[in-house]
Amino acid sequence: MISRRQILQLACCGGGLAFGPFGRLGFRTFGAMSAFAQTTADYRALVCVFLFGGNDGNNLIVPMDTASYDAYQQIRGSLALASSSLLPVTAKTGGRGFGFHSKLANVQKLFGSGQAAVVANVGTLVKPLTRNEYLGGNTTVPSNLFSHSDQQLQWQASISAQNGTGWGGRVADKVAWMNAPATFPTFLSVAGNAMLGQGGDTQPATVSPGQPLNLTGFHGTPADNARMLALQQLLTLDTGAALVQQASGTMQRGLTDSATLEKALDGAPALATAFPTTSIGAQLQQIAQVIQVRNELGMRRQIFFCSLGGFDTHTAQLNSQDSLFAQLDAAMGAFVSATQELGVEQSVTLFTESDFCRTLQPNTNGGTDHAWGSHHVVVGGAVKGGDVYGTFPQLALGGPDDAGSAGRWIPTTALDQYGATLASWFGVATADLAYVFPNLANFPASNVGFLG
Amino acid sequence: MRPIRLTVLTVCALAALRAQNSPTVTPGAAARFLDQAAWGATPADIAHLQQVGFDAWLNEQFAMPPSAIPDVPDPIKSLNSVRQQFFVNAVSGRDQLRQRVAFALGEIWVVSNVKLKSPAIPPYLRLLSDRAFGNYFDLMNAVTLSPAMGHYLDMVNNDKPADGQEANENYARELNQLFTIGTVLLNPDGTVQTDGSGRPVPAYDQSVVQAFARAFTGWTYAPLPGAQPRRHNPPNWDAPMVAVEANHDENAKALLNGQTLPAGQTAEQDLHQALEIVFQHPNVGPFVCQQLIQHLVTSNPSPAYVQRVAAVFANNGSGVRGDLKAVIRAILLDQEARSGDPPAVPAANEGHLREPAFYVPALLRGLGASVAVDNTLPQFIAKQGQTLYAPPSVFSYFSPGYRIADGKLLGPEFQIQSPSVSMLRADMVNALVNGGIKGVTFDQTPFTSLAAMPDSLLDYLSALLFHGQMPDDMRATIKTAMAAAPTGAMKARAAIYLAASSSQYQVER
Repeated sequence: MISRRQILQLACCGGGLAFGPFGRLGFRTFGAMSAFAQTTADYRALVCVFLFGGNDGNNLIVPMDTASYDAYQQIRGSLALASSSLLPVTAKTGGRGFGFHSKLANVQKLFGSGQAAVVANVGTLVKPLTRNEYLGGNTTVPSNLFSHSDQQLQWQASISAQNGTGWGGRVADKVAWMNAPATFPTFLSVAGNAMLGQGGDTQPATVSPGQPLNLTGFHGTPADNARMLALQQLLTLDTGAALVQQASGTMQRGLTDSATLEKALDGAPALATAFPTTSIGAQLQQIAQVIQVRNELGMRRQIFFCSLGGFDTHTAQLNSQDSLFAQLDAAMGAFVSATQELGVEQSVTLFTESDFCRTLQPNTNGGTDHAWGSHHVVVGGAVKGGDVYGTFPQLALGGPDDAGSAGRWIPTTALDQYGATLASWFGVATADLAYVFPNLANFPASNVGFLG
Repeated sequence: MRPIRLTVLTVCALAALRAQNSPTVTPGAAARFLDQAAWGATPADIAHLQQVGFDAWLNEQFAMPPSAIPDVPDPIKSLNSVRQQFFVNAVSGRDQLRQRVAFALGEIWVVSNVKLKSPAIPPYLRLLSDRAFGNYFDLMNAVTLSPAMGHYLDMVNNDKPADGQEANENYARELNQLFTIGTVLLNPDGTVQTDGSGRPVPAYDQSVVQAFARAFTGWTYAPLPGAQPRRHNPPNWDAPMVAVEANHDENAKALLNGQTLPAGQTAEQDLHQALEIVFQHPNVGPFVCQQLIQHLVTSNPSPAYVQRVAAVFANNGSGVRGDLKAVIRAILLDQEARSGDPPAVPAANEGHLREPAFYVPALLRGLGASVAVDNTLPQFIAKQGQTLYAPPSVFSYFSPGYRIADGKLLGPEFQIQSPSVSMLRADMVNALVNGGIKGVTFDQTPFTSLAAMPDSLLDYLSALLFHGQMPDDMRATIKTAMAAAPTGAMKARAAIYLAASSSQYQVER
């Protein structure tokens, strides 16, 4: 048997063929052995859990003071969660009482132990915005609000005008030097291509959980080795056709990165932490396994992307969100346990993103429609947890936070501020934040304060 | 010169490919046309197309009856057999163009087994197949009232809102955003209209979405045969939805561009007029035609190409708007689609990545493989990010606006072509050449018989998969690998594996 890694080495060293793109393979040799000397304190990871479809944050966390809960219950009607079902917590700052959705028991527990926080009413913005300004129309707002595709991209890019890069990739651009001489990409998605991870220089890696890392059908015979060399050489041919080059580049990165990862994972013990056998469980398990071999990869900074879909609850929201939150909470709970098992709980911060929030007012089908600012969860040992950051919206139709009359919250914390808080903790220098979040200077604070 | 042990089949196939029956259609041009208008080329189809020419071939295809789409077997209620039949129809069905167009329409007018129960899907697939060559307005009406779409985007049982509620906006929003108009105003050539500050001009605002939502209230499933009609009937996937006037919002609705539905109209009047207003919006032609071009021909059509086709959408020459037959003919016979036909070379940015559901049948057709109903191909393309009839959301598997890493060129299909998926594609080819795909019969004799003559084998592969234009450096590379393989069968397998998994094949140009 010969592994693809060995064949790639063959490609680098033998045959007299020109394998330019493989020159950056940089197999971990003696230089990378110093990685083992790195302490856990040198390691930081961000884990984005993207909730596709637009999660209804209004039922993720509910204010429990009498006036707020009454307003919530009155407007939500049949979608109001019973106060007795909510999992109570108290915000450290100000002592306001809130209740988490009943399926978020792990989140409640982590909030209580100071390892989870909520950031209230976060969303896409170009600059701070009031209801009057929005309704007046004579101001700059993100393009195509309430549209899934546009808002998904803006949550990943931080800007309306797409230039093909995401804020996670731009963060990676600025911290990549910390990973040198490791060659594994700073950004890894276990949920397919994600614009979040595309940087100016950064090209994200992907892994398909449950699928083999290496190409099948190569068994180390001379004929197989010649075929592998030919496959690699075909990827380097200049066809002059942009889409062909894109396809070749994609597969080259796949071959290179999975060879690196395969070698790092080789012989790693299985995690003791059991993960749920859901899609999001398998994704977070895969991420934990990669974090486990961070030293073998020589990584000091990593950003991960995973996702859970199905949050577009226009109909029968209560049942759908119950099921989705149960999956999410169980997988997140297992992931936190795994970070503890690996001794990196202080070094790993998980955060949620989603297209948008949903209307506080229900529609005719026991569901809700597309809205704007939402509440998001951050989890990890470095989080200054047990608190609700930002400003919780006033739950009133047509109230000061409503973009219209159905409870679509105009964000009071920009995604840029949320992301910049994560990026600053991760190691992006203050001077580099403008590269990552071009609109950040439009907002009064660049740090929301939920990370130390 | 020629190898001695050629099989009869191979000789015939090569002869067919070299035939010059038509002075205008070369074998390479025919093969390339079949990559755009069919699920890829076969030697027989190349020969036939050369014989009749593009125009007559299109007329034949327009007249071809649809391949059968089975119901889900009761009581299994799984879509697997419908997915398996997709490959049988794609590889050997005669209605190639209809299948390609219906599949493209299904990636615009998306429903998904992620939310819909399996029995809802086959009637919807037949609806698309039956209307692939019809009028776009008829398609809009049929889909809007289809129970599958009604359930998928929640128009079914969307009643007039009670106090403290809103009408469900799901179908109202996506009908406009994804199926007809898009979010921003377009020029006749598909480029985006901008205001004085260079910002795109929105095509509508939130109030318009809410008005459409109310216009579409008052519909439920058709009563099951023999059942008493109710205000909310139970699911019936075999008949269009029916109106229940008591559930319809009768207030006036301000729709697009200041056009208003007056108060007091019935559900049917509101629906028909609302769809007419959408259909007449000038965005529809460029918006829909650009996507159909992307599905069939190229990810990056020039604005002029889009404009020529959109003009045909607006008027088929007989004053009819939305004639899909005319639109398809315009797309496939446009100078931009045909200018890259061999012996010419496609422009640098021409073409598109084959999505998995196109990659697999095209490869099987090109290589002369056959597919039995009981096959495992659906699982292979599911791993490649395309579980048939179950895209993750109404935004389908990939977005028509997805850009490749250079940030400039569109490459919709690349959205699901991650680095790891690109390797799984090669693994599928490995399974194919090594006989590891259940239900696929792939006789490699024609290839093995040429293995001793690498140039002949590469000519053959080039004719079958590369429109006769496999690049010289690629041929040289594959020959090196063939030389290292000890047996004829292994040489043939190496050549097929490398050719079929190559980027040059995966990107259809």
